[in-house]
Amino acid sequence: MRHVPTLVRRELGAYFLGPMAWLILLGFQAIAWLNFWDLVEVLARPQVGLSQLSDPMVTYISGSMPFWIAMMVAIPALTMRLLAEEKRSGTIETLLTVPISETEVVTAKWAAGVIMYLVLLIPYALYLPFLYYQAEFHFDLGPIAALSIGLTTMGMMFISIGVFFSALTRNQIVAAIGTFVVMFLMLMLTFLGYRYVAGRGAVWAEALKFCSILYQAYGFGVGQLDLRVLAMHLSVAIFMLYLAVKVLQSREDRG
Amino acid sequence: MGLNDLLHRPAFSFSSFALMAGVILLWAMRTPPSSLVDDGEIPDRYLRGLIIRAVLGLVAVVAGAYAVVSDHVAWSMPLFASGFGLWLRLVRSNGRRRHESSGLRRIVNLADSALNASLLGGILIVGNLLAFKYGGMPIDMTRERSFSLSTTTLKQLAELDRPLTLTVFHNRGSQSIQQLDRVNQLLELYKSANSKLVKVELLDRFNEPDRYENLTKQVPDVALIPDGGVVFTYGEGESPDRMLVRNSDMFNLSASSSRPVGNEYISEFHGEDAITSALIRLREGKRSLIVFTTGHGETSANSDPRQPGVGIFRHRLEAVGSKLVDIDLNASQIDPETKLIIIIGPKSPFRPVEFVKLSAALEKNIPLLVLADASAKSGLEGFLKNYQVEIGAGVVVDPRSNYEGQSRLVIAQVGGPFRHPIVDPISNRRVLVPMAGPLRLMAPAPQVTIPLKVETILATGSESWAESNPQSLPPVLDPKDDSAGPVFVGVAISEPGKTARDPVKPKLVVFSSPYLIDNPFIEIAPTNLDLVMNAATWLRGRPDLIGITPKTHVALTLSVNPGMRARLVIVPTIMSVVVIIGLGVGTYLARRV
Repeated sequence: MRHVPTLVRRELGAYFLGPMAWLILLGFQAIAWLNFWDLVEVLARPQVGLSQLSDPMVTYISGSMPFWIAMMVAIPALTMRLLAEEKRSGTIETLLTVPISETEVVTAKWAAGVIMYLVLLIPYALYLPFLYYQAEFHFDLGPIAALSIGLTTMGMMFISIGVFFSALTRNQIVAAIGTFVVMFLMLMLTFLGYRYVAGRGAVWAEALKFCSILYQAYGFGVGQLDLRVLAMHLSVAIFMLYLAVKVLQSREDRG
Repeated sequence: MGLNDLLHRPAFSFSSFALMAGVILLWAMRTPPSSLVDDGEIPDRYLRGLIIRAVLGLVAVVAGAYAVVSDHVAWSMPLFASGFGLWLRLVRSNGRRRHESSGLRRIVNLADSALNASLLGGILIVGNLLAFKYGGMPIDMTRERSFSLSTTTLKQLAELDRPLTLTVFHNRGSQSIQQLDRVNQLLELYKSANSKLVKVELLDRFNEPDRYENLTKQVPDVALIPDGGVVFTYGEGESPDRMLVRNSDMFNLSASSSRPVGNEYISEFHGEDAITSALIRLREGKRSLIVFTTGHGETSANSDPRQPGVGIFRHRLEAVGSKLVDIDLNASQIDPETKLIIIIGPKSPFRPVEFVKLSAALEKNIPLLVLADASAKSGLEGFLKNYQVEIGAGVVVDPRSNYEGQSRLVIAQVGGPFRHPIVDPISNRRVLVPMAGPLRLMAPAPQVTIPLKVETILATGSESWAESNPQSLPPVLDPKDDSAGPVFVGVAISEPGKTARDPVKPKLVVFSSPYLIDNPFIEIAPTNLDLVMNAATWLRGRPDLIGITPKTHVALTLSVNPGMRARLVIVPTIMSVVVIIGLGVGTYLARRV
């Protein structure tokens, strides 16, 4: 694993030396601005809800549809080229002729993707100190901590799915579509599916709800840090990375 | 068992699917005869045997996983062992020869990958199961501990011995929907605490009229509730125990329980108290009898929040499973099943026969809760002296810590130096003590062998005093006649056990303000109700039922002018955009150079 830091630097360089990362970051900044604007307007209304627990973080991130749509676009865009481009251009052969294992390559690509994903969240974090100190709106910091941890592990999972699909093909578009479809299933279909079956008493409704990213994010947003959800995110991430390594290794067998 | 039963068993369906999947996989993995001819040395039959072994291994592992999911862990062991054994043997015995044939290499690599993937998957699944077992309740990271349950609730849920179904029904008004959210959040915590036995169901009375009608047949009171509530169904079968908790028991809709303070909107939620109390009541299946004395001008049972009366307190007692009876001690006997006698604000004197009955009840371990009126001569003063408590003269005033400048409406902090099961759960909260008299603790009479244990549970602040001249306005502390604070206004008396290990027997709780739980004062200070409810529960000898502290939620309003709001949105945005564009252009220029 000693080559991983070098490979991560190389990947981050590839991100930031091209225009793609900056454009995606600008896009996220625009969405964060819209979300924050909406949040400020909501918070400025007199809060007279009857014992309703709706933390500002739910309005700002967890329950924000633009945020999740941006995620579904940005993550496939970030991960599609990680391995698919190396395979298409043939540089993967060069990379693997040097004494670097497939595991190191996949881990480094994934780590770079996760770092880039966290960078995308910076615009969202940027507004909060202004709200806290400038406007003296002393919101609860617990839900922010829970949401930060939850979004990080969630990102680790999503990026690992992207890396896996990128390892499967040499076509970036196919990799992006694969990642998008899985993310769509996890985000939307689990949510809609749960809403549909919940009233019908289906036994697997709870399982669907547990897997629903939107419900997970809502839980984090109100300040509930569910270790089961974190374990699930990390398990999926590890398993997908393992599969990605296996896919890369199978390239030798076919060769 | 007939064929039809067999066909409808999930295990049969699963086995059929597994077999079909195995056959399809076998077909997909088959090695083309041409490659076998090229490889020459590996016979076709041998390769097919390996494929069959790999597929059988896969079927065995999947069947093992199914056995685990269906709670047949013992059955899963041989299945896993045979599956992994088949793969391991295949890899071990053919690993060195894999380069002899491309087909053999594919099969060995596939078996190797499947083995590793299964082992990794197994480890991850075990990790997840451990997270489910030991991390079942989400960590509550909120400042207000909104998503935590009290130990009383957790204990009750852990002790469930039958399935508990909580059916939440609601209306469509905005208030009802808001309440529904909060109730759902709470019930989810109940479910997390015992997911095996607790089930939460949602019932929209407009979308599901049949289910609603069925529910009203089972619990007719449901039809009388306009907003919503929770129906408990404890047990299964033909006649499970059922109980109803109304939203009004969980949400105090009064102005004081939801009040704006500056840019904060503070609301209180009694949901956990109401639901856990109902659960306890349901499990115990018996209502405890509480007697209110009448005939001496006691405070009325009026429940209008704006009118004097103790109706809100009485309603709360009923909500936690008590049966309330009013009796005139002069004319009636005290039922031996009585769990508690309550005297609130008597104005006219008790007769000697009534004191005899009260003393006899106390002797029989029926405890007494007294909210005495120090200004009235009810005769309780003398009676209480027998229990080492004296109601002093005067009225407690506090020119500093009071309600809206009215020095006789004293605000006292609960807890402080006084530790007692009654006050510990609401420690550091404030209560309003209106027009209270001073209480004094007396030494036990010389002939008493085992003295009573008399403990102060509530006192006013150090700047208060017992004003001997109630007419003086504003009150001025007279060091000669007035008793300087802190002034005791709440006392709990218990009988110690014969040995140090024996539990104490609660006997008596005295508050020296008759208005402590008067409806309008509960509206101003909801903690008053919690304090007296805790006292009632402690006296009944059920410290496990001491009221669960209501959850207080503070919703903040962003109180800045529109200009500031605009700056708040624009300034960070411009800063961030400038930084992103600057860094992007800088990188581009640096690369160009």
